[in-house]
Amino acid sequence: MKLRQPLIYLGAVLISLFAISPFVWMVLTSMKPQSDIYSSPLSYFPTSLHTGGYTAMLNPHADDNVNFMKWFYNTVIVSLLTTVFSIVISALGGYSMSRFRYRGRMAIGYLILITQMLPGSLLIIPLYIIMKQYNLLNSHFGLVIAYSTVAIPFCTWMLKGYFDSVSSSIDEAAMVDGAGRWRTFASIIMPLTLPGLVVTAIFSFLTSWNEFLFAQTFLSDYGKWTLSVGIASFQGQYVVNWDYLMAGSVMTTLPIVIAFWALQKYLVSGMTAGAVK
Amino acid sequence: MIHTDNKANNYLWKKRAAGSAALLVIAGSALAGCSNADQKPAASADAGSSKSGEAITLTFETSLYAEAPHKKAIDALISKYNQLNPNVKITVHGADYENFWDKLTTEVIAGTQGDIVQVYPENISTYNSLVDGGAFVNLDPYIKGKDLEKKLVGQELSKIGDSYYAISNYAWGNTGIFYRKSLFKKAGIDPDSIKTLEDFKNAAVKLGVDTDGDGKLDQYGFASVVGSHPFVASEWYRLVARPVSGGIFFPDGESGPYKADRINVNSEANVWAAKWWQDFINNPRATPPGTRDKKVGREMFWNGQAAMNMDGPWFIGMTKERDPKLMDDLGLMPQPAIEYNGKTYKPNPHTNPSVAMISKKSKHPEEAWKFLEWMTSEEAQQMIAGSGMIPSNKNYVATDAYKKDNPLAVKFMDYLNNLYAPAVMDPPIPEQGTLSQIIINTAQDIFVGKKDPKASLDEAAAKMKEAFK
Amino acid sequence: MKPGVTPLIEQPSLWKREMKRLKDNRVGYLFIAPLVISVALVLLYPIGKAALMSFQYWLVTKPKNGHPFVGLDNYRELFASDYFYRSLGITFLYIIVTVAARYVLGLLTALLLNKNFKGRGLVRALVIIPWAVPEVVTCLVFILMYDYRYGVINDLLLKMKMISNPVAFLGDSHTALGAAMFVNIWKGFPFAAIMLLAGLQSIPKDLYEAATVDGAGIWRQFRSVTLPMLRPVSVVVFLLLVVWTIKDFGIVYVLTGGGPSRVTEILTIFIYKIGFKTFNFGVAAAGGMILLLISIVFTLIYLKATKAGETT
Repeated sequence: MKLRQPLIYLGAVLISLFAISPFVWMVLTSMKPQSDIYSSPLSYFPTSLHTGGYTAMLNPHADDNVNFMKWFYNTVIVSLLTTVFSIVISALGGYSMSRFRYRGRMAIGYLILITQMLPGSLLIIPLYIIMKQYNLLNSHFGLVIAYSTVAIPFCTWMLKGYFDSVSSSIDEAAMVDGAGRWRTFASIIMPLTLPGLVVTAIFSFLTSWNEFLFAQTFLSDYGKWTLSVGIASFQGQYVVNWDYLMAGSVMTTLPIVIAFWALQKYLVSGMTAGAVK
Repeated sequence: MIHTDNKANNYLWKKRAAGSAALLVIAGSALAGCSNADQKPAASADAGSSKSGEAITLTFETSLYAEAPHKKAIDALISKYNQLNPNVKITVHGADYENFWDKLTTEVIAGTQGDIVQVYPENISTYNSLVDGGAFVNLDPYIKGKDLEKKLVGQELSKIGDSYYAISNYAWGNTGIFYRKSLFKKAGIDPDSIKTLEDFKNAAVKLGVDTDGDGKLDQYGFASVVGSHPFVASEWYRLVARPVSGGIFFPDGESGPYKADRINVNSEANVWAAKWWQDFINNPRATPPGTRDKKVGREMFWNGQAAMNMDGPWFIGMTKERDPKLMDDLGLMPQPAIEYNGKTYKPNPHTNPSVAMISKKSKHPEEAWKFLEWMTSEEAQQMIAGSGMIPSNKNYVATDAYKKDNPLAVKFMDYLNNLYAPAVMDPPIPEQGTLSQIIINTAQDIFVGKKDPKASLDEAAAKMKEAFK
Repeated sequence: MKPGVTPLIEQPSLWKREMKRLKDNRVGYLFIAPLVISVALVLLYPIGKAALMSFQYWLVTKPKNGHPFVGLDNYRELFASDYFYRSLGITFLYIIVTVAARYVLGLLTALLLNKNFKGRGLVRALVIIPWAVPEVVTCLVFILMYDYRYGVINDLLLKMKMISNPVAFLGDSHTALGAAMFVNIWKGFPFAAIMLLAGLQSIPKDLYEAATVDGAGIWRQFRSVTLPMLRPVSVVVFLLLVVWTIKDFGIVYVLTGGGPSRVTEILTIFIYKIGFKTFNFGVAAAGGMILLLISIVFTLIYLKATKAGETT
């Protein structure tokens, strides 16, 4: 036991270094003047602190080309709605697949998996056409619908897995006590699978946070853009605005990291000792 | 975990089959519903919805808007026009350059492209042809026989067959060779002495220097792209191949008839050009190895690690933005003429004008045209000059005011009129997408993979011919 | 699997189950209805349309009075291309390497982050970074770091004397695929790690206690408690890693565009180019259907082998 602790720390340091070093490079790059980025010999740290990227992101009047705060707001709204939609729908679906024994439930499971198998470049034109039919182009709601349906199949399977790992004897016990299916699901089983709910929520949130192809194709108005589309626009045909690009990316990534830091304590076992046997 | 005997298994499969069938029915009806809806004429989602009845909204779609100088120019144009015509509101739709074209493809197929779409001449026929009967308006009634036909650079390129489908009302740029005056001076090279491709090569080799004496080269002659970027092909054929062969796809300036037996890619002149460029690009003094894309090449030029760079008038503004001090050291010379088989060939680079089309789906084509025509006026062209490209109205560019403010840009105009052969562009044919892919892959084979030029180009020719079957 | 560790209690007798099923079925349909409706309304049309397109004429730049049916012509054209098979090979290699690496790395990370140690919360938050960085940006920063002349990776390797000349990682046909795989692994391992971590957290602690009482060492605990209990989650994670990687596009495309000399042209890039660069959406759709078929076959075999589709 004594020997294992240092090993754990060593592992933790190694894995952290692996995960963050490109990000550290992003942070450093975001603070460099353009001439430092392409200097030889390479300078690892900024020769002079350059904050132009961050100013442009934070001050809406610094550059007409940038409306970072608006994009940020759009992205938060879209991602939150997507998360709520997909968690509710897939928790219900996953529970249904895990606990009920009706015809075709696994067939549904397989069919929704198929939706995960086509490349975006092929889906995009028909999907665009159907969005047009529903009058959902250039709207955040349309984006939420698209993201949710793309995230739901994964979330459903994932949550089915978690529900499977909770014994159905718990459901039965609850129902013997007089709880209906709905109450059993909502107030007994859901809390028991909290880690599963948290990770699927993280998954759907991050999927919409970073999604590019749909957002870029469906949204035309510059003011409606999401962060990934806005940030990609800093990469022009002729130049890359590295300071904007990296500052924007750091500011897109950091809130996620902080939020996750705060939320990760909910990744603990939903099963208190003795609840399941 | 699972307790299944054969019977239960069978049962399970039956259930599954029933379920799948039910789902297919749902799917089928959904599909039917949608394809019915497909038949309806598509109404532009964002055009023309007006409350006051008088006000008109036009959407202007462009790949240039992501670039700061273009955005400034376009915003200025729109706000000025709105001032002159308070009832017309113009909104710009765009995406970053890399993704703009796929988005446009999707929109044209779905019928939701903007009222006005700004593209390059080689895109006109492709995007027009994406839907039956064409996606854009024939502009002949507005242009043919008018002075617009003569006064705009690149107007003659904006055609499908004999009809105009776009107006070259914005700006253009061809290419020349930018050089660092100080590095030329240090190497004792007179830029005016570089007339031919061989002169250019000798200068490039001479400019490859180990400046700090550590045994490794740290300054190179010419920053060219060696990687998977499409420029690896285009710099080759714009600088060397097209001038001598008349065309990388078809001879006589990429002209028709576009038939398989006229494929020109493996002509003797093109093979010679490929060999020449392969030698050149793999000479470590002449060109720096590992230059992934144009962006890196430009940085090397600004850092003084590369003495020459092939670029257009926009590069002037970019250099100024990078560091105003660089402007004093920035020289410009025309692309070199090429001596081949005892003959001298004039350079003929792209002219690259940005041209505008009007969508057939537009509810206000007349209003859209009025705006486009206004863009050719002197007051509009003056704003466009801020984009860094050269405004397309020849009369405006000839004014003293423009010449005085843009001494380097005027040189490009001079090259176009006096030194360069008539501009050539990619063939406006449906197979062009395939041909471009083939030439990019082949160029990577030859210039990055160092494969034999003749064999690779023969292979490319065979593939191109197949595209016409 | 040992009876002591299975989470399932003894199944109720058959008639009781049948009774419950009858009563419950309606509720079950109700629970799954939103899922079926939303997926059907949004995704079935695009998928059905893509399937249809693969049998139709869709070379849009040469319009032919609508989109007549052409039978299997699109598929024939696809199979006639040498590059299709090459691309298939590259895709398989890409999938095998990146999925294996992401899964193993993810599992190790999850096991580590499941242990109690000081600063665990911070490490968990740091590990999520690759997942949180937008994909386009990931690619651009790696392009910068991989650069021949201005890249930090070359600089470090040179300083450590591991190479004597810089390497054009993305521009050299020997290194490009590996360099792209590395980015995929970096970007993708946190997903596996976090999902598996949540799975580990769902394992009741008393199972470990029971195993300890039985005298099981760490390795035995891992094999007889952790792995079996992680299975339901693990199976889904692995399956989706494979399925998603089959249709993966963005990372490789932005990094290399499929080049140089097509050595990184995975199937999705091959298909994309046929569609958006040469405008033959019919052949592209046929390629998509092949991808779909590969995914379906893999999924069926995999689910059959793991019996994951029939749990409980």
